[in-house]
Amino acid sequence: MFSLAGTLAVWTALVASGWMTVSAWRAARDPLPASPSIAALRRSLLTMVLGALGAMIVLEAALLANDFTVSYVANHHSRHTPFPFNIATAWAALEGSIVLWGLVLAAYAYAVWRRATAAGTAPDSLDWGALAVIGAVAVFFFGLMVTVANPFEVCTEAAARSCTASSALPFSRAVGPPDGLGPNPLLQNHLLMAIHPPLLYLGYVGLTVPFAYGISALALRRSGPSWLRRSGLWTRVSWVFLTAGITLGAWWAYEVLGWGGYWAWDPVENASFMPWLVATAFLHSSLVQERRGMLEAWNFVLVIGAFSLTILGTFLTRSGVIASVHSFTQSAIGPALLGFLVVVTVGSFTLFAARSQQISSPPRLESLASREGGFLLNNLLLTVYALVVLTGTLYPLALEAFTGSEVGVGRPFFDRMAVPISFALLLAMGAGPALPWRVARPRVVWPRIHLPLQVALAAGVLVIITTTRVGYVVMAVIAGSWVVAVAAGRLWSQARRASRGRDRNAWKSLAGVIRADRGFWGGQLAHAGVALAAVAIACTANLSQTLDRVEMAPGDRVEFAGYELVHTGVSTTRTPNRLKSSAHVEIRKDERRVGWAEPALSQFETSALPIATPGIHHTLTEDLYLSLTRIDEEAITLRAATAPLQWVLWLGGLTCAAGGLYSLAGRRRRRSGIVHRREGARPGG
Amino acid sequence: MAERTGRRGLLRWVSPLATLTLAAFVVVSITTADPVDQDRAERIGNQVRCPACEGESIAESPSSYAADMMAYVREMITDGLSDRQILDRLMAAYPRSQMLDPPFQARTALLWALPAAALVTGLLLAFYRLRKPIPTASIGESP
Repeated sequence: MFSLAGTLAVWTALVASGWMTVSAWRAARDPLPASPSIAALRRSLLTMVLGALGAMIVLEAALLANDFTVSYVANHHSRHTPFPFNIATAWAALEGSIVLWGLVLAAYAYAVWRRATAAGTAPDSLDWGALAVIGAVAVFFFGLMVTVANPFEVCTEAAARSCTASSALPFSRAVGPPDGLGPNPLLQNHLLMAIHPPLLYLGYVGLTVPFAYGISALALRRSGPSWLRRSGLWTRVSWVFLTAGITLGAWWAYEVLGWGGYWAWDPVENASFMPWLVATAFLHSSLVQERRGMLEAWNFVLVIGAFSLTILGTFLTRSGVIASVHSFTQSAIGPALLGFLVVVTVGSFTLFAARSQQISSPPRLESLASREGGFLLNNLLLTVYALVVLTGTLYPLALEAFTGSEVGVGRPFFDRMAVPISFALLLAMGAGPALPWRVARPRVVWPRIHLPLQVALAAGVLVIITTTRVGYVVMAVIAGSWVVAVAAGRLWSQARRASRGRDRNAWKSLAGVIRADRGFWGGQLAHAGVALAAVAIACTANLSQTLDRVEMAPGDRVEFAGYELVHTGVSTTRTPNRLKSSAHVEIRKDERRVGWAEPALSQFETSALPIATPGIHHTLTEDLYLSLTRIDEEAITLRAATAPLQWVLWLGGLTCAAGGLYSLAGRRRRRSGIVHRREGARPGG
Repeated sequence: MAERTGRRGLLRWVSPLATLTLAAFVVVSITTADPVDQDRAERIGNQVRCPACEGESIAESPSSYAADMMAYVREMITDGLSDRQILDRLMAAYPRSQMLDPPFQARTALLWALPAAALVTGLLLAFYRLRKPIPTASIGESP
């Protein structure tokens, strides 16, 4: 029954998205403002949303009802999967994650429609064209759901704990195993795993919207600032979700995976980081186009690039190509995604090339030392950064595919490339807001930066005197303080200017200054978040101490990093889906107990290797991170590490997302009014 | 009045001098600092990929395979071998393991060259294409 309902929902969404694409395109080509196609577009869009929502609801219902005749349920769920992981199972595996993708895409399509047709706005062909592109992308994803990634296939042959053969026909004779194996053990170990993927998907899929507006502007010869203004909100929304998703992903890796790190330059992580870098570049370069009319061609390249990278990321993480270049054809989704990626990039860049004559010729840069020049540097650094990550991720695959020879590209390579780029970015991030538009003259810039420069250097001196002389840490503190101090200095001087003439002090003007330009100050808050993250990364990477694999019998003590660790015993708990063995470790400092940690190894019935869960003792200055590699009644093998200022990294990531969120508030009403007046003023816009 | 300009002239130099002093202190402190006291085995282990696990180094991975390899590294350190010798012997003893830090060779040249090429291209573009031509020259010709 669930198979039938789900199949119907997916087909409904597929047909509706096709219809939506056609009617949106017809509306875009219709010169009349009130085209009859718009009514068809509205109906088909709403039907698609209902279909996508229906598919998700049916999938969740099948999971909650333990209907093991649905192949996805049989292969990825078990009766013992506890709440809320049974809900999250819906996106824990390939087919379900595509259903979530479809739902999020439908939601964005609806939101774009609502915003374009809201009271007081005048939607036109640019919006309809964008909806046509979104519809076409939706056709691909709903198409995946009825072909190579069908979650609603009926199980026709069942083994004891899984489904071995299935059919896409909902009326096939259904059999089901009595119980399933459940989702990947790693994914049912921590609550963060239930929320991290949806956040990331909201980010990935949201990048479809600026891409759609960009393609619409190219196809309809509507270059100019309006496609940027109309998609700006969605770029920021997806950027916020991406930032939050990446932060929570790193947090999850740290809290759950048990190897003590939060970032391994793993292809899956890189797949989320590359779109983030390009989207960040786009956020900045779109400001230059909105303000000065420059870099439009570059902005088209960035939106196409960001969207292509999300598809590439999905391909890398979902096709099995990472495990081995030769295995990805085993699942038909690999070739399908690769084909889509080729169509998207080749099609988009061909269109871009064909229209390049019409893209408005930019006024030239007056001086590289200017706000525009700063943005240019930022874009150069971010794109090179993305390219480094892209090359490093794809190189081993490409080399093995073409020459058969294997090469490893890992942390040392990425660190060596990323560290200097990151420092350059931090310095630019501080300098940028201090530079005026057009031309930055030293006598304007120096008064703005000399105090922040001294504050930053003084912060570095303070660190040297009180804590450490390790170069990377000191430089990160200086660069981070520089970013924050420049922003604070700008805020203070604007507040003073605002209060001058009025009888009140500058403190009272602060809130007013910030509210007057939420976009800018939200951006500065995001910069502060990046600065915090940079300091935390430098500290954890350079000041961490490690203790490698000590064997401890119960009662044994070991001295480490000023702590004394005492192994007091082992306990075992059995839950329906796993056997968890925990070591009880007493943490002592200065002859006094300061805490307990319970690192554990869990043996899931579905997995041969045990899953390590670290025991973490959190303090304000550092985390003490304990993990096990072996445990039994006689002894444990313990690894320990300190992670100085680890919590500052999470704070930084979330501050960064919060800054993006705050800047959204300033854009809500920007669409009408000013926008149309300016566009009208452009000859041949 | 001469005294006042003199004092202001002096004041003008206070801020740059303070900046330079602070910067000099930082640079000297950093460059004369002792190198980070990182475990040598850990440092070597970080460069080698654990063959049994995806993408993790043998220093990070909790697997027993990685533990064996790390034990071998420590053994060679006690024997007084150099980093290079240790890595060579490790690669020979565990043929399926790889360096995580790709050496510069013909087959990895592109990996190193591509980002550098992009950076140089970007800089050249910024300098030559986006710079405004000298205003007097731009009157006569329209691009």
